[in-house]
Amino acid sequence: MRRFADFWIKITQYDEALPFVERLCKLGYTAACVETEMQGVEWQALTQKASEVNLALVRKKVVEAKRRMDVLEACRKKPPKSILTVRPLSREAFMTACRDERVDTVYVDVHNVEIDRHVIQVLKNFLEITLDDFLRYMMDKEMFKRLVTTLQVIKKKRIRCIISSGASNPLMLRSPRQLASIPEIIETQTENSLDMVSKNPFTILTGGGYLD
Amino acid sequence: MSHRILKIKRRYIAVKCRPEYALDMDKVYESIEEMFRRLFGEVFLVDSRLRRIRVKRLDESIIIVSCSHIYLGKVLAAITLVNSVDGEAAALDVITVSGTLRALKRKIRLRVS
Repeated sequence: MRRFADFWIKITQYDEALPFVERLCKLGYTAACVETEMQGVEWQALTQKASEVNLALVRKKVVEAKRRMDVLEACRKKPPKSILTVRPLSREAFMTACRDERVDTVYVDVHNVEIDRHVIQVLKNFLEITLDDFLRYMMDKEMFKRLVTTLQVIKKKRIRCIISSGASNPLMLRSPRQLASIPEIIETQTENSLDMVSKNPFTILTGGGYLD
Repeated sequence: MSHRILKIKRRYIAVKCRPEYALDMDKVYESIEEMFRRLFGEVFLVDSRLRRIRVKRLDESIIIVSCSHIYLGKVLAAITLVNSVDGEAAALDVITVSGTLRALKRKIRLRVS
């Protein structure tokens, strides 16, 4: 049976987190990666609360990188038991993030970077796309075109990819099947698109030892 | 008449709206149709046979839509990408999908209970 993970949700405070946990559980997720500033006791209380409903929470650090050095510094300072996602703001940073295996995922913000053949040649990491991008760029024709082109490249070149919600409020959360339907805009096979919310995220979570 | 000749396999999709209050179901269906049209165009909209099914004694926040089984993925994508209904922030959750209306109703009852 498939397990599902939402690889990116954004929670700032503990009070905001409980509706997220409740909702994720209801939607059928068994793991979620949380970008948060919560520390120590609050984080422990939250993970405890989530584990009561069979939801594993993993901390996620998202780093914006303008240059190659920013990526390398983020890798050096990577906290233990925390997913590292790089958001490249330039092609140089994008290339570095794609080939450095200390990075877990590379968030493709189509506003700043595009996948080209050189990127594909050096790519070792998973790419990440969020539902939030699709909702944000829905009105922007040019950006939406770039997003769909990115999906086409991912499909055609069989790039390993993760689709997450990128939700900053519970209203932005969707069920795993719904998240997986996004690549189906361009005729992706259902099995392959489901891998983007189940097999691929769990490859990182279990392979990197992030899940206990 | 042509609909009878071109018989298709249908899929029935139960969609729940969030937040549950003050959402007009006609407007919800319109927003799904509009999103599908924006993503895939008028020809695919006609070909998908997307339509709303009105069912008595159903939760007020649930809407049932049906489509050709070939277009299921695309319809789900359109439902996923709806984030506002009639100017209000909203989200649409797919509760379940089924090949017959009878099985869909049974699944909804199971999920809700």
